[in-house]
Amino acid sequence: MVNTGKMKKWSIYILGVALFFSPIIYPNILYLDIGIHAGIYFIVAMGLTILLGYAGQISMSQAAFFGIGAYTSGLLSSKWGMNFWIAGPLGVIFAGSIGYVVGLTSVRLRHGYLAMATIAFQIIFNTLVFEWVELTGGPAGLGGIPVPSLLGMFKIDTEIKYFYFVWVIALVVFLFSRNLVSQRIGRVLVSLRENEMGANSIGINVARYKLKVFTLSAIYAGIGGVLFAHYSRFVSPPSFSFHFSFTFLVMVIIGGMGNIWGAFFGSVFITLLPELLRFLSSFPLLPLALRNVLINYTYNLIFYGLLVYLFIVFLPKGIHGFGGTFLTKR
Amino acid sequence: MATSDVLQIIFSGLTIGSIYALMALGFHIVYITIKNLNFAYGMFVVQGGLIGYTLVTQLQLHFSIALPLIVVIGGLAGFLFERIVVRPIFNRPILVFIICTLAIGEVIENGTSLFWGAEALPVQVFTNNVPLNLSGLKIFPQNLWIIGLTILTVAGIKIYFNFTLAGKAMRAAANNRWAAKLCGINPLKVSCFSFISSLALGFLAGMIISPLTFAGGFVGIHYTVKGFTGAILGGMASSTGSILGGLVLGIIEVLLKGFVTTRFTDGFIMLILLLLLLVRPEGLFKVEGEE
Repeated sequence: MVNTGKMKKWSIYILGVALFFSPIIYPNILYLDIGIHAGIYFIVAMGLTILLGYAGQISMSQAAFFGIGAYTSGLLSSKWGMNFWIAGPLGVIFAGSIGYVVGLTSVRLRHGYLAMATIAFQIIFNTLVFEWVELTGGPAGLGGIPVPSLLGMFKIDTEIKYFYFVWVIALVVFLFSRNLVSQRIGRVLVSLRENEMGANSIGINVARYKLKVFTLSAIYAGIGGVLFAHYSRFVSPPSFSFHFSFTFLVMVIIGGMGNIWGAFFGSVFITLLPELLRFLSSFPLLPLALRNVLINYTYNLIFYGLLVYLFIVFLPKGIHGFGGTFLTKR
Repeated sequence: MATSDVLQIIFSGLTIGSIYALMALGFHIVYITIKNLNFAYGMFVVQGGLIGYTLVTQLQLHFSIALPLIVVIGGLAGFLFERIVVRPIFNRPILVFIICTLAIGEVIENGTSLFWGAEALPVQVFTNNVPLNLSGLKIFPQNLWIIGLTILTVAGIKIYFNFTLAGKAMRAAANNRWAAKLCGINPLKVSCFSFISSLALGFLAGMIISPLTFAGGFVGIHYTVKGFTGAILGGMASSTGSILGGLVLGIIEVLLKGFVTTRFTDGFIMLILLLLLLVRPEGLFKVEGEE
């Protein structure tokens, strides 16, 4: 028992390094694609973890902020030929400022009403991108988004390069978030979740912090959206629907709301789940109807919903709470 | 614009509004008894439309049999929903209930697409589809059915809440949960009854509107938010308020479609909801003495 803490610390470093270099050792397009998506969702899920897990505010419009980032950056770089390093940050800023405006509702509303307000914003966004054909391309989508490049020379055009690009950004965001929640502001957010009135009575400006954390989560979603747009190089409305907002909620809850690490476990697990279900569908003992459901990923939301319910009832701490602790607790 | 045009708009507004009124009432019943919002509600309304499609269009049942049947099925769904989903999380924080109903809503919506497919299905009208002509005013029989059935249902609900023991018990529990408990009213039973009546209303609403809007097609969350908008418009805490709010919302929707834009109607309604939530969340008809 002497060095368990140190061993755990080292085991996680080794695991991290191994995962980080695995694409070079075994470059498989499918796994790289999963890894890139997991990294993008990880960033968005971190924002929602801070919002939902720490501050206790619900948002069902993360997909809309994700979409604002993606569409803004995609439009600026494809239609007006802007550089990624200008269009991308502009997309993030725009997502953040819209998040600020929507966050104004979170100052006055709580729980169910806030959830309804954010769903309403999600529907507004979907109606806009679907119907404003002149700008967004409507249901046909928006194509021709260029790949990002470093200093105009080094193009991030292959999966393996993009994998590292995404995960380096995810790592930076992760370190920022971890520092954020372990400082005073993290404790302030927890006080909002636990007792708003109590927080108010000890001199915390509740409204200001609610607005700040809501904007922050929108910025994270915007970063994810920008990375998504320049990876898939094509955006269309179905990618940013309400169901996608729900998927982010699923990631946060299954991963575990109480810790930033939960976002990591949740996003990786949910990105891997379709592959897992496809694997399960190959078992010959299962009835054919069930195997067809398992293999068709349009039905995955059924499993997401059931998993969320079961996790909330039986394992409210998420994967991080029962399996991940040994990896992250020191 | 002629008077008949105005009447026509009001009439079709009232038709859509009737559905929102029924849904707003369903939200209201759950809200007053367990102080929470059921986010799976719209998915259940869509479900009602799909089961109605099976009963009326596929099985060719007469609507006088299909209508009571859908209410019974809705009640049963409400009972099962309360027992299986709500009971295990009854005393957990509010946020848990929100997340769980969202999750179950997704399960229901995607689960139904296994049986009925992802496409919206056309449903046949209850009686014939020949419009009555009243001095330039075209009235389709289905619209009359919708409005008539809504009036009947609302009257039934009012009688239930004002004159029966079970209804009075529910109102008592809504007013003061602890005092009602002291009088021997079981809060679990109240929650059970409220979900049964709420979902029966939702299934009925989904079925009677489906000939006009088609059944199914992943629009559950839109129904949830619109029913909620109706309830918020009139006042969540009052039954008359939510019914009137639903009717007003229907008229607003038709006016938007007729005079502003058909493309962004849903977006505009959501904007109205956001403004309402920010400016007057207690609704146009505020109930005195509400907490």
